[in-house]
Amino acid sequence: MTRHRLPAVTAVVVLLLGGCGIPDETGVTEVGSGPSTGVSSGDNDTPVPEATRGTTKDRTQFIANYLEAAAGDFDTASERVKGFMTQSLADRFKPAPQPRVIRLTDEPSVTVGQEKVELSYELIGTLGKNGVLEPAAEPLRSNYDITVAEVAGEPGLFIADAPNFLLLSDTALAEKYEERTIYFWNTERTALVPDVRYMPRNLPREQEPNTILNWLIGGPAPWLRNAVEVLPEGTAAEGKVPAIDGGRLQINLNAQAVPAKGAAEALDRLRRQLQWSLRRVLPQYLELKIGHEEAVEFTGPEYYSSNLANRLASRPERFVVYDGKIARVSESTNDEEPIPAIPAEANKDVRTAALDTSTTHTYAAVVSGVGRSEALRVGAAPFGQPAELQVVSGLPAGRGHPVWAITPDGETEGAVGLIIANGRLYSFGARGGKAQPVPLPGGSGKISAVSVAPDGRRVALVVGGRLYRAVLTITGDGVALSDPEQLHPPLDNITAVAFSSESWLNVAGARRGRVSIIQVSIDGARQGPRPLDIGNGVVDYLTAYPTNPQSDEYQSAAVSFTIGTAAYDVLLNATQIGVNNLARPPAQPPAGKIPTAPFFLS
Amino acid sequence: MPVRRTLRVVRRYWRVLVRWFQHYTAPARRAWRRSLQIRVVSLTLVASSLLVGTFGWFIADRSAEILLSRTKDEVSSSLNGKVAYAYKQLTVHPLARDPELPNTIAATVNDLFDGDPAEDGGSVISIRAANHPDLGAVTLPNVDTRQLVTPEMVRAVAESGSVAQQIRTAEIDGQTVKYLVYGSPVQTKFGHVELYYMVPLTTEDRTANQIRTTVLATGIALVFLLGVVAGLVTRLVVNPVRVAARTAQRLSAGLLDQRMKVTGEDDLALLAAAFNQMAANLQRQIVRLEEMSRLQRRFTSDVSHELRTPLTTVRMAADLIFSERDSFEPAVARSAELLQAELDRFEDLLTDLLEISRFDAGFAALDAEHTDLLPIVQRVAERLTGLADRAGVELDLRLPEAPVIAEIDPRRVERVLRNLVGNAIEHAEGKPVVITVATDEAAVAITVRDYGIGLKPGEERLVFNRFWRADPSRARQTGGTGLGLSISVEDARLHGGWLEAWGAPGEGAQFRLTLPVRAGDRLVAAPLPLIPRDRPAATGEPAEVS
Repeated sequence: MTRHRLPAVTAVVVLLLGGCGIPDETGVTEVGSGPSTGVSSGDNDTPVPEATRGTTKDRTQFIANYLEAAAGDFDTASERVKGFMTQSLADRFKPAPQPRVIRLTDEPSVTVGQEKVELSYELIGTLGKNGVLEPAAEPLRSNYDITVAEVAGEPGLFIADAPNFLLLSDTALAEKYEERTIYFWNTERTALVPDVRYMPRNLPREQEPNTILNWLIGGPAPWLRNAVEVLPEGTAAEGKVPAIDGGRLQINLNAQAVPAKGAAEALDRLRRQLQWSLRRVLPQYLELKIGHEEAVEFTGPEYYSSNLANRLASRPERFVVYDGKIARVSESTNDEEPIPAIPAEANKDVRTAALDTSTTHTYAAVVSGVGRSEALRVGAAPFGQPAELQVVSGLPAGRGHPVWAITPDGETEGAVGLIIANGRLYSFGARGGKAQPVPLPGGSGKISAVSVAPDGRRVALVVGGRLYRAVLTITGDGVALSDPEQLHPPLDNITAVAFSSESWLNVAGARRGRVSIIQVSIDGARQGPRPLDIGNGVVDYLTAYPTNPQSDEYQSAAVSFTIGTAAYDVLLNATQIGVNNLARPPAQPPAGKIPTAPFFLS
Repeated sequence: MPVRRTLRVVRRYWRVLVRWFQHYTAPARRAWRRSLQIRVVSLTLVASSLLVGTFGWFIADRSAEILLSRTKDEVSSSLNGKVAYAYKQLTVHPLARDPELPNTIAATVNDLFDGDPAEDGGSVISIRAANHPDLGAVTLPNVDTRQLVTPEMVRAVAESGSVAQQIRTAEIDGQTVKYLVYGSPVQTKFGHVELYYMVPLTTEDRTANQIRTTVLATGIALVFLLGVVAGLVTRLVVNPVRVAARTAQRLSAGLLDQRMKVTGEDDLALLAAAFNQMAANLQRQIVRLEEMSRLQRRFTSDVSHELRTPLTTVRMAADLIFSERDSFEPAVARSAELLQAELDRFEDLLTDLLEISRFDAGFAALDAEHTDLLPIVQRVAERLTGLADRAGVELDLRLPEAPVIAEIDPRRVERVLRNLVGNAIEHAEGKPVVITVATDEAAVAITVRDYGIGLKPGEERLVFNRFWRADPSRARQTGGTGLGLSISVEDARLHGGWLEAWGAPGEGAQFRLTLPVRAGDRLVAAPLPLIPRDRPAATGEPAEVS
């Protein structure tokens, strides 16, 4: 009996022990209820349904819809466009991913009974995935032939033949995209430089921060590269930027986003850059988490100061040159004050002038005399004090309007002003001395107008009747100009240009045979709603007081120009500035003298 | 009928089985019955196996549970973090048809994926949307999770919207791995997607197995050692007991000088000492008793011898007086007759006493020779016919026709028979006395049956005692000495035979003398029954004196 019992007992023990341990399979155990429904943003703004092939049978409208199809999500643009096409065309349709942005120069020639439609167009540029509209390198005006046909057995119209491009009309660009300005620090890290991007309007609001962050990481538009600083090498977002929750926007970046050296300053720059770039969607708090460090919270308007355009007042101080003297124009602020920085004894024989400010100083540049006595005198002085004007030498005759580009705070060393003399661009400092020519790379035409954006880096130029944009880069002996990029506004024979906001320009030129002043975006693609028709005169000079970016207004309310010597304000129409518009009109106005050369204290 | 037959067959097989079982387990059962050590060791093994098994199971079970619950806590908190992250990442998508959504899900899974796949399988993370079939499941590493994420799991997470967990064993990349699967819904603006987090339990499983193996090995070793210890301890106690038993056996066999060895001062030593003391006392007592008995027998023998000489003288004088009695006065003559009779009795008594003392002294010797028993029986019957006639008793001899030859001492057998028949006649109360002789190859039996007053229960043994009388008040009529049956028993014993008595009140009595055919053979059975066949049933316990 006993001999048989031992193995039996052992077997029982083994069996019992075999029963315990981690089971191979268990049933489903509900641990608890799932996380509660997150806060719904509430603004369930279902986007307007996109026009598809079946939306209309009207051929003109169908073409318009076709030219809109590429708008929206970049990666699926090709699919949307193919949706308009017959199967055979769609199969062989292999376009470049970037849509061509075109401006129709004429209505599409839809002819009843004909399938072929001719589109006359002007190429503006291409729209990249990063929202950058790159102007076309060469102006191109041409025609596209598009075949709009019906397919037996299927309703609606089809594109049966089309050029192998994704096409996007300028009107679709205006309708389907929103302009967003993102910012990069200039190479001196003194101020932010805006960079205009196009964001699809149907992009959910929640994704805007993420998109903007990706743009920032992706770097600036090509034309700004020389003037701005990219984010540190290797910067990447950690996951997506979550939707704003409780007035808080959380951004997680990897550790490379802030270099180890000078981390505090770099973090401060980064957050200002982010705050400006995300300004439109920014809630009360920005929470920035770098790598595995503690998240830092930012709030308040402190960051505004990093954008020089933020200094711009809603109402500018306006000046004209009247009877060889700089005079204030009425209905502008401080119109009882003396002319800043320019001593009274120097205020004579003035032809053109420019005044600018930093946070500490007023900068003045005055061109006086004609012919051999022509002189440019410049100076800078702390607020409220007259400046000692110094002569700038080395300029040829035929000087135009001076303009201040860079006005440093605290000291005047490093200030840069620009002037066109005899069709060439020269730079000068605030302490006189010799003017330095600023060569125009690759260009040989006569420069007829120059305008510097509020950030002091971007410039718009008119060379040989065409509009260009470029950036100023600080070099050892002054400034240099980057390769200018030609813009393609709907104007010919452009004569003058001026920044009217961070991202828009006022441009004067010929439009359908008549001189007009229109607003165009910084890339030349979009145009403002109210072109000012002038008629036959030639606009020699155009100036504007840019709007403050906080106003969200891109059209400046203060635009002035000259035709010949007569100065005009752009109000509802062009209105000449008369003697009675001066702040202190002379009791006996000398005959034949009219106010001219209007400018703003910017 | 068939039922009964079946039952019978079953019963037969059952019996065969039981017999077979009993047969094979007989040695074990015998060992169980006989060995205290085996019993103690077996019981210790059984009890300790149960205890160690229970505790071992408890410990192994608890540790596996602790391991699992720790992992569950870790995975659960990790899952919460992952769900929170995925929730934040997916907040940017208000609509399920957002073309960017699959990218976000893929990127989120990529971000949430932790750890490189270890050799025993890394964790698997998967986001899927059961309610939005257009969104494919994104799994990292890209393995088939159908075995891991069961439809029940999907139902619990996607439909009930609860956090659920399950353990699954699945074959991933050719390796069978145990996974802890957690699932949780992740709320989004378009409903919810589900996040599944699958963590391999390989390490925990291995640890649990190691614990189990350790516990098992320890348990078995413990049980084995306990058995060994119990065996050793029992041996410590049982061995002296066995020695004591052996010594006692030897003592009882007559080896009175056997003693136990006393070692140490413990309880067992005390036992041995007490045992030795007892043995010594016993020996002393026995020797003393033997001596006393020897002296008594010597005394009896001496007295008998010493009495013979004066008795001879007295006898001669008495004979003289008896022969001259006719010349005496009748009263004196009567006295002379009485004297003669009493002297005869006295002589018989002395003869018997001497015979007894010879037996006691061990001087009696068997003078065996091949003899026919029948003439002896007939001679005894003839000699006692006179006595029988006087008592009015008929002697009925039932003898076989062939001679009954046995190796016996005819003088002693005749004395025994004379004694038995005489006793029977004396107690027959006028009824017949039957003498029967029978034989087989091994034994010869002679029974003497009477139908007189019989024997009371218990008297079957007492009849053989010296000087015993059934009724002490009864006067001695036949003049027996009271030693006849005692001598007869000694005679039978000397032959290696039996002399037994049976009797019942009112039914008479029967005495049986059984003798081996060859002297010195051991008797096993008698050719005649002790209880007479003419009695309906045997009620009394047969008395046996050997």
